[in-house]
Amino acid sequence: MIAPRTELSVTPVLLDQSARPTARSRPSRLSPVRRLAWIAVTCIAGGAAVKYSAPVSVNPPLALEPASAPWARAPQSVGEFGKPRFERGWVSPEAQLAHVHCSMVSALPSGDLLALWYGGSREGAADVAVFTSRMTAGTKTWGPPVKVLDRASVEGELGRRIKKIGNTVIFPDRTGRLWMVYASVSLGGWSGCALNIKSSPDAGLTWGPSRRLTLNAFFNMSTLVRNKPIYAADGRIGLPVYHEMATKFPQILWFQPGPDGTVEDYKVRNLGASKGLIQPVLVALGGDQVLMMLRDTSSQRALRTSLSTDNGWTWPDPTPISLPNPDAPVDALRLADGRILLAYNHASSGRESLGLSLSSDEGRTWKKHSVVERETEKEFSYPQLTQGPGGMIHLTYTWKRERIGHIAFNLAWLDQYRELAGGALPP
Amino acid sequence: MNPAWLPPSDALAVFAAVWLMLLGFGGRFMPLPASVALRLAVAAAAAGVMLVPIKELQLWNWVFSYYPNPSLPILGLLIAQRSPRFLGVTIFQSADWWATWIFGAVVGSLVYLQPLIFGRGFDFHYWGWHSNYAAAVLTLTAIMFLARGNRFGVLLVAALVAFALGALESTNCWDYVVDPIYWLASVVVIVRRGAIAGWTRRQAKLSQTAA
Repeated sequence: MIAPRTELSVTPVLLDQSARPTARSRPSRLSPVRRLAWIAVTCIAGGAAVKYSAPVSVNPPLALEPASAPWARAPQSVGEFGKPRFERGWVSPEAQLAHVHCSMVSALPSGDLLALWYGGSREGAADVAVFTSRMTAGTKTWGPPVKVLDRASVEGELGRRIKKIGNTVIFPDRTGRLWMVYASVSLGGWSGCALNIKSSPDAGLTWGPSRRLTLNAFFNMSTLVRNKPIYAADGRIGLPVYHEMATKFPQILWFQPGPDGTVEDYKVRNLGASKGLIQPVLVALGGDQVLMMLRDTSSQRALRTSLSTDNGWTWPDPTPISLPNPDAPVDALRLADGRILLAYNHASSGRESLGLSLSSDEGRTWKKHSVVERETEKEFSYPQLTQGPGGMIHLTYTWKRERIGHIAFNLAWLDQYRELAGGALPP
Repeated sequence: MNPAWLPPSDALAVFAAVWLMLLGFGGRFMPLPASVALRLAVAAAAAGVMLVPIKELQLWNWVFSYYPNPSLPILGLLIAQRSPRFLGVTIFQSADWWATWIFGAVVGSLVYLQPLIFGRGFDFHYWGWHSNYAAAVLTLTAIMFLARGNRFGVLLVAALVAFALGALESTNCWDYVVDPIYWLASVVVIVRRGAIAGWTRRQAKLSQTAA
């Protein structure tokens, strides 16, 4: 029989058994009086913890903000039913950096558009920085890039070692405050990402300090972000995120914005049980329904969708739809008439063409609309859609990893466009 | 929760964890019994090492970069392991250690392996954010240990207080009671003990057969 040991050792660092001869031994058990005293302390501490650590909300949202909420709605009417408009341009300047990628565009309550992307010597390099550019309401040109984040500034704000920064999203809340959630890596590759949040009270002119979000139990690694959120009527924001380490799956980060740019409460929920699906896109359909679309990293290479009927709280397993997916992100937008516009790479491999599709039946069937970019052995990817002033729809995307492209069009163009002879791209 | 003149409590927790680990390393070179002055000198030296800058970051800050949420049980078990040598007091006895390791192995496996064990449909980690439920469960578990006179319950009370104060960077209750290093250490200890017990039993059987 093995004699009971008073201590257990794991590693030399934890091992301290040689100290035993000098130790003044105490009884192995707490005395009855001490037990009662500790139990009383536990009850007090537990009662305080239960009372004061209660989360803001752990229940599903009762409703989502409709797409036409005043704080999110861009002025409608002009251009929607008029002459078709289709314009091409650039968000990032020519030869700004060797590598630019992963754009995001957001329509601000003021009517401005704010675009964001990251760039540096290469993806994942230590010199990668995040830039914003603004298109002021009533104009058609993007302002000069403004650096809003780089590795050094993030290190300073978070007080820790940062190896690189990556995917970043921006979105307004119901009060007009602009939020930024960005990925940073301290160790390893993208699957070692952690998310951080900060906000701007003046629509992106100045930014508050960063806060690290602890979203994963294992060293808080491997939560990434790519797409825009949905908004609950109670003020919570549901941001689609995803996990990549060991197994890939989509998640949703629910957080409650507090006053002055604080985060009152946050939690992350897993979405469905399927593996290999990342970068979820959420589209609020109304009537408690939310459509999720997912990038497929599996060998099946088909776009997947899932429909939540409780405002994005629970989800059935995603199923493949008729559209292919070459392991590339997509974005979708619900139009004012209820149709869903999808920007995506219509191929099962390669990102050589970027196109649009429309669904009139809440994502059940899709009709291919147009191809807006196409070139052999080049990359057009990471689309982002938003609807801005005058009902104009704005698409930003990675253009050959050299620039951030921008296409603006209206509903009239969407309705009246017919593919040009020989498959030529829209001018 | 910290006054402006104090460093954040999450940084202090990491500092304490690494300092206690270094203290164990330094203690190995101390003669037994060591004078109070020597013990204090080793403790001060360990704290000094923590402040050594490596590529512009102090040592403790490097650890904070990768391990920002040391659980309260790991701080407690490090104190319990250092105390015989530095304070001359044995805080934990065998039953307390066993409770510490079994709790770490079980809760850690549930929290860290849940997507692999249960699939992503069952989200054990998420329940750590139902903080009033989690606090209630933690209180009951602590009372259970304390009612049996097990001192591991005290570490759970400390976790409960830290959770109520929001002392760590995380807002998830599980991060206050378990962390990956504590979990891995618990699994290693239990597997090692199991292997030793099995080997000893086998040897005893063999010697009986030979006799």
